[in-house]
Amino acid sequence: MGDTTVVCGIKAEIAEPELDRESEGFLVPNLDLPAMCSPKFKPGPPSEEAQVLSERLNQALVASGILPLSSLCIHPGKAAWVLYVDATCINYNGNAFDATLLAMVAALRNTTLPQATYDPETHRTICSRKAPRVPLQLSANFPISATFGIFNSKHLLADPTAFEEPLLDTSISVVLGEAGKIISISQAGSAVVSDEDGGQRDVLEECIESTKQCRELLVPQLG
Amino acid sequence: MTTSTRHDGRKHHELRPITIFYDGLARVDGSARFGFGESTAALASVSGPIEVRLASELPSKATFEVLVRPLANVPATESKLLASMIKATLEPSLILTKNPRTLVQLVVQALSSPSNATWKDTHIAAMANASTLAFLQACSVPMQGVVTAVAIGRLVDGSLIVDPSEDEMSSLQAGGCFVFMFSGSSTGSSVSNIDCVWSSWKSTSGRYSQEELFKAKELAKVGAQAVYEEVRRSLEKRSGATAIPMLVVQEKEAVKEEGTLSSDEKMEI
Amino acid sequence: MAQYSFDRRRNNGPEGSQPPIFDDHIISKSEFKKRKDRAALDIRPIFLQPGLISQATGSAYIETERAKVACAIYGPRQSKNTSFYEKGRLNVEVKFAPYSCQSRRSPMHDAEDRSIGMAIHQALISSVRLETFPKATIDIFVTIIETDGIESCVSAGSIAASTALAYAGIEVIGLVMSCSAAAMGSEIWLDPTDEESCLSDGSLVLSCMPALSSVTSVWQKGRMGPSQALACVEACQTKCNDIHAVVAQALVEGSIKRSYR
Repeated sequence: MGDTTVVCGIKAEIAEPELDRESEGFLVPNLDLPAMCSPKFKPGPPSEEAQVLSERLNQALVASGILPLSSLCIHPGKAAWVLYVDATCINYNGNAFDATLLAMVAALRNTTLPQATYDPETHRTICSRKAPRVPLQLSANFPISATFGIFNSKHLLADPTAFEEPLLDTSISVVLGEAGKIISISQAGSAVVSDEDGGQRDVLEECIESTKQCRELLVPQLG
Repeated sequence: MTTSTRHDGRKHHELRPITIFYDGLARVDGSARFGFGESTAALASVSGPIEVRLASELPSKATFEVLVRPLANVPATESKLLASMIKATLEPSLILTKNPRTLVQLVVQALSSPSNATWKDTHIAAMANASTLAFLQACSVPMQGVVTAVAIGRLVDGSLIVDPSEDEMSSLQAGGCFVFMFSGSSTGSSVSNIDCVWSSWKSTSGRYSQEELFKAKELAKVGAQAVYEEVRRSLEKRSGATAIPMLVVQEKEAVKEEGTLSSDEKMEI
Repeated sequence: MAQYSFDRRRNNGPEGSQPPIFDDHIISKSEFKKRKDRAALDIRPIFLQPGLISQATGSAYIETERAKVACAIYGPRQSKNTSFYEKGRLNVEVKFAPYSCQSRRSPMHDAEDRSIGMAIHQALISSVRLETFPKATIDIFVTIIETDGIESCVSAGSIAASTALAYAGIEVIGLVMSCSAAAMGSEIWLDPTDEESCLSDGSLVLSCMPALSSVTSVWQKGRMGPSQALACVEACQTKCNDIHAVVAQALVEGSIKRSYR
């Protein structure tokens, strides 16, 4: 996405499900913003920005219900898949949220799992290499987001870059699902933009509209 | 708006009874407790302007730091996100440029933990309100308005409710938190400008449209206004004044001696 | 199995999880008597692109079939520790992406990325003119997106870092090329994959500056006789000359592209 590059990889492992959710697997999304991607970041543990983004991504994926966690179950109460969705930012030029969400959705869409069976006698889960791998049971309601910023209470900017981001008064993120349904909207700061002729208007509607268009453009590219 | 009653006998646009306490924590500049009903509450404390670490010093304004502590467990990514949310809600109301190269620290302690992992909006609202109250009590950072927050939920039948209780949260289909800033003219008494400064809305069912968002926002505005009135009343009661200080521009004369504000006294775990 | 530790700065998975166990066994050793897809002295094709990361001073991305490495250079910038040092410093940090290996790697630093970092540092240090930037540091960040054996990480990382240094316009006395070799019985296989290097008796990574025909670092592990080690060095050095041409070509193309921008 522009000069922002995010690589996302998914690793599947097997774990015992939580006691209160016996037939559900896990989806663990994380974003890493290494020191490599921008001079802003320092080597070491994840920065505050990375933590906040990871949690937002987690919430977006959970809220959209893109992957029913019950489909990750191998044997209730004994074994379930854990999908570690790890994204690494290679090149950071703002708006990592949209780029990462897109990378994660795309990665989930081409993930396949081997067929696994749980053996109650040995308490082990064995995967078959010969049986064909199955793709994930994704719902069509996958989230696509678009972020907007308002600069100087006047200009609405889509997809802010790293240069623009610190200068914005307001940022609005719209996450849309299938058929233009809103999964989540978060707005920080006032959404009122004053026109050159002094009038004021709320741009939230405008943002939702343009996210819809954006989603229509992106969905065919996901294949 | 329908007038049918909810589980606890409230109307759709009615808030739970609000509790506000200014029970002072001795070692901070301002602190307050805010609760919706009995089950949702948060405690916030403000220290500042105090000395800032060299690394996070800003030359043109004060550094605003928010720490959120959950009721149980260690702070994880979730409380980082909450902290960044609360920071975003309060930042527009604070005039940080008055105290450059200082630190304003806000610590929010959750006094209740959400029973439902998906809907935490009432908790966010309680935290934001408690933070506002703490700032109002501290009077140490100039503000340009009062920020109040309220949560909105949508039930299965499509009706919107204000301030969903713990029981209602399990049956929500969509929900969100809206934060409004009430700022007025400098005369202080009249509120001339109500602006939605922060909102988050999400839905799990997907059957949720744009109009509903705006309806929810309108409803939230009414709710936030009720919270605002309550905040106002509580301040009047406390100070005996007739109007709440809308623009607290006077800075606190002398920041306390630095020694009294060392970090171990600020609600560290 | 990844060592479980609760990390409050990340989203955490469940306590303890294992990579899937498959029902069949690893392909037996006998199948590797002869190399399948290439001759013993061939290396895998290299794709090299300088200037991938726009925010960095210099950067490069290298891909040799399954091994994929991205490298960025920041600096020269002020050294963090204030003690005076009349020469510049070179700081190499290697990071594995969690999904880079067969089993998931925890996002923490471990001994492996440090040792690769040391190896790359050693390969590069003698090529950089450190005396030209006193009191400053050049940070080299290497991210390994996909691995194919530790040897190819070191060699690909060194090539990428050297390319990125040149692209950044930092003064070097020569480009550092690197090539790995594995001793398979009496034969020498260049640029071994992970499977091949696991089966080999020993392996060696040679870093050299072909333009000055001097060796900067030799990194050897396993078991091989002195004559075999020397043969490995010879074979690697000839290959490095070829790689040098590839890198030089990529740099020329990269700088032409940059001048058009």
